[in-house]
Amino acid sequence: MNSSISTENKSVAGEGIKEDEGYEWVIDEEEGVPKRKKIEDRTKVRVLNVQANDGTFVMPGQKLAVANEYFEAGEGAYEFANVIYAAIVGKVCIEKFPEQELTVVSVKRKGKAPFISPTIGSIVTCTVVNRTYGLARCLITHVEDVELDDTMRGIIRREYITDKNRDAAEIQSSFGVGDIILARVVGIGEGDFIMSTSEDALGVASATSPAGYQMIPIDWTTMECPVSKARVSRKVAKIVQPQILKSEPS
Amino acid sequence: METTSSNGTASKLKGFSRADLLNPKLPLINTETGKRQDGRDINEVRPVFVQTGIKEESRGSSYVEYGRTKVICVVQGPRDLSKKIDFSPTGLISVDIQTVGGKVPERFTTLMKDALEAIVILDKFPKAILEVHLTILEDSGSALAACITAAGLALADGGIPVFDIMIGSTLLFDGKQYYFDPTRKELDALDLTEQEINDVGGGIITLGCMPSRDQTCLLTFEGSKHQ
Repeated sequence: MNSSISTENKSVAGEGIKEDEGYEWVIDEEEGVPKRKKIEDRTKVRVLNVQANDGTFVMPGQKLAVANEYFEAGEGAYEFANVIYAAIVGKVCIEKFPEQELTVVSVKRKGKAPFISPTIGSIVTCTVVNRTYGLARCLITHVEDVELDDTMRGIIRREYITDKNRDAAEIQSSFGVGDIILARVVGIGEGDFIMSTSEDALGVASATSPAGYQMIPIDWTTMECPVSKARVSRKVAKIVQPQILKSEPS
Repeated sequence: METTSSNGTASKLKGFSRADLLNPKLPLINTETGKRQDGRDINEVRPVFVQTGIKEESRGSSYVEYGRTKVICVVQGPRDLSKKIDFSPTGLISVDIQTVGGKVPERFTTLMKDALEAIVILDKFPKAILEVHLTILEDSGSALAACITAAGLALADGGIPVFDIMIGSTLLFDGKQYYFDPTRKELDALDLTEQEINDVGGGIITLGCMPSRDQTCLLTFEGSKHQ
C-alpha cells in the first residue's frame, strides 16, 4: 500500500516539505506516522466506494461515497470536494440507474415530513388569489406532494400560460380566482416566485363554478358546471380527473 | 436566642455586602484537594443532558443542559419572506434569544446567526426564512456554548439540510491556567477589568465546532492574553 514512497523524496519536517503534485501526506493508521501517498483521482472511480451501505443510519456530515459523474448526491445529501456527505439524520438509500450509468446516493428519513421549499424546476400546487390583465397572483400551498408550513407568493405571467399560440392566451380566459392549479417554478423573482403552466400536464386541476359545484372539464380549454351547465374557459391540466375514475364503465 | 445569634454574626461580618456573603469569591482551585470548587478537574466538563423532539408542533426542537445551564431551542419554517425584508436569492435565518428575567447581549444573537449561516445549506430554500428561537432557562455559565449545541441538535431533529451538526464549548483563562466549561461562579470570580489593570491577562473563549468536517463555525474571545 505504501510502496510508492521513495527514499529520495522523503524530506524531514525541519527542512520544509515541498508540495509535489499528485501526492499527499497521510497519517498511516497502523504505524501512526505521516506517509507520502499518491492521491487517487476521484473523478475516474467507477466502483461505488461506499462507506455507508444501504439502510445504514447516518448523521449529518458523515462521509457516504465518492462523488463524480457516475455518482451523485440525491435528496438529503450534498457534494463537497468530490465526496458525498449526509445532510440530514436518516438512512442511506442507494438508487442505481444502469441506462445512464448513474448511481444516486440519498438520505431518507421516516416519520417526519421532509424539509422542502419551492426551487427552480419543482412542480407546485397553488391557489389563484388575484388576477389582472398581465398576471395571476397565486399562493403556493404544496411542493410536489408535501404540504408547506407557510404559503408562499407566486405569479403566473400571461406569456407563461401556454406554449402553443402563446400570444393569444389571456389570464381572464385561463384562470379564475379560487382555482387550484398545478404549475412549475421557472424563476425566482424579486418579490414572488415566477411560475409557468406551459406543459400539457400543468394548468387548472380543480375549479368551482359560480353556482358552487366542482366543474368538470369537457375539453382542454373548457370546463362545465354539472348542475347549471354553465361553461367557462380554462387552461385545463391534462391529468386524470377524479370524476372519470368514478364513472368508469364496469 | 435566635435573634441575638443572628445579630452577632451580622456584627462579625461587618463591611461585607450581602452578595459577597452569599457568593464568596473563592480561588478557582481548591488548595486542599487540588481540584476546582465543584470537584472537577481542570479539563473536565460538567455533566451534559440532551434531548430532541420536545415540542411536537414545531419543525425541530431540542433541550440541552450543561450542568445547571439549561437551554431550549425551537426551529420553525421555512416561512415566506415578508415584503419589508430585502430580496435574497438564498435562504435567510432569523435568530431570537430570550432569557428568564434578564436581557441577552445583542452580541449573542449576531454570533448565533453567523454560526447558523455557516452550517445550514441555504441554497435549498431560496427566498424563505428559517426561524430559530432559543430560550435560556438558567444561565450558570457558558450559555452561548449551550445555545450552539441546542441549535445544532434542533436543526438535525427538524431534518433541515446542514453541512454538519455543531457543538459549542467554553474555555476560561485566568492568566495562568485554562479551565474547561466554567460555571457562573468561576466566571464571576475572574474580574476582567481587574486582570487588565494588573496586566495579567485572562478571558473567555467560546468555540463552535463541526466535528465530522473538522471545521469551526464560531470563535469568539473576551478579555486579553499577555505573553
